[in-house]
Amino acid sequence: MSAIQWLGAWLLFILILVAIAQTEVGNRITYYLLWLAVVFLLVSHYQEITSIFALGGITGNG
Amino acid sequence: MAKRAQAMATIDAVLASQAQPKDVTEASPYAIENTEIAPPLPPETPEQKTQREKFETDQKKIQKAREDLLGKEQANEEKKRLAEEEAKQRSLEGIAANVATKTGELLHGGSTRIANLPAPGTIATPLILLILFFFILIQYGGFSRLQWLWLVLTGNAYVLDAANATGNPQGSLSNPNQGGNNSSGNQPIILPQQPTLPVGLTLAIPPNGMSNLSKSGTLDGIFA
Repeated sequence: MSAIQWLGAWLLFILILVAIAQTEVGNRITYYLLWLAVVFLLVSHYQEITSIFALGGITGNG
Repeated sequence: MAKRAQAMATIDAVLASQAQPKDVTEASPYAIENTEIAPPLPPETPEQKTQREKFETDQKKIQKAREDLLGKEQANEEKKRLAEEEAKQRSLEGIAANVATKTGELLHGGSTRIANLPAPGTIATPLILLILFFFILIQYGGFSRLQWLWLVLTGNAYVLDAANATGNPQGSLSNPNQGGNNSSGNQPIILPQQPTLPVGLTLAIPPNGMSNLSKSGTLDGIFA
């Protein structure tokens, strides 16, 4: 049930964003909000990013 | 022949009499009594000329006075109108109307400014980046979704049935080559019957500990 609620909340959020993005003002707002989300994602997972570029972060099989 | 000629002569006479225009000088309502052109006026005498000029200047003065008076009246009316408008603006109605007008200008101006913000690319650009980083950065079970995908593609991990999972309802890791903890061996991928949220980073602890897991990207060292 919680999974359905989670999925439903996300779908509702996406639908609202799509509806807002249909207008000129909403389009700009959504655009910058998405970029903000990208920035937040990068900042909150900086350790993973740095580990990718660090030596030994990428390991091969065996 | 003679009768014919006589008849023709009669007809000609009648036609001739009808063709002649009537004399306009005859008494008729449409008759012009005097067809002569009016005689030219006698030349203007100096007194007549001065009188005419005086008359014209007087007429001009009267016209100017009228225009001045009208202009003054219009100016007065304009002043009254402006005074009334000012009084109206000072009243509550005017204040409310001003507020509504200013708010409309502000909102319209604000929305215009927001709509004019530069937006290089489309909305799809940050959306695609979000999805990409979602697969690359966010980890579940110790690996990102892209890593899990790679493990699955290389045959180093697959999702077990919930019934065969060992203490991990979200699925567990297993090496199909070595059999691992899965008694069913090389079974096709079966989705868990009760999918749950990725709440925690639960992971089936391999018998040799997590250190082997951290050494390599595969699970070869787990069940060694």
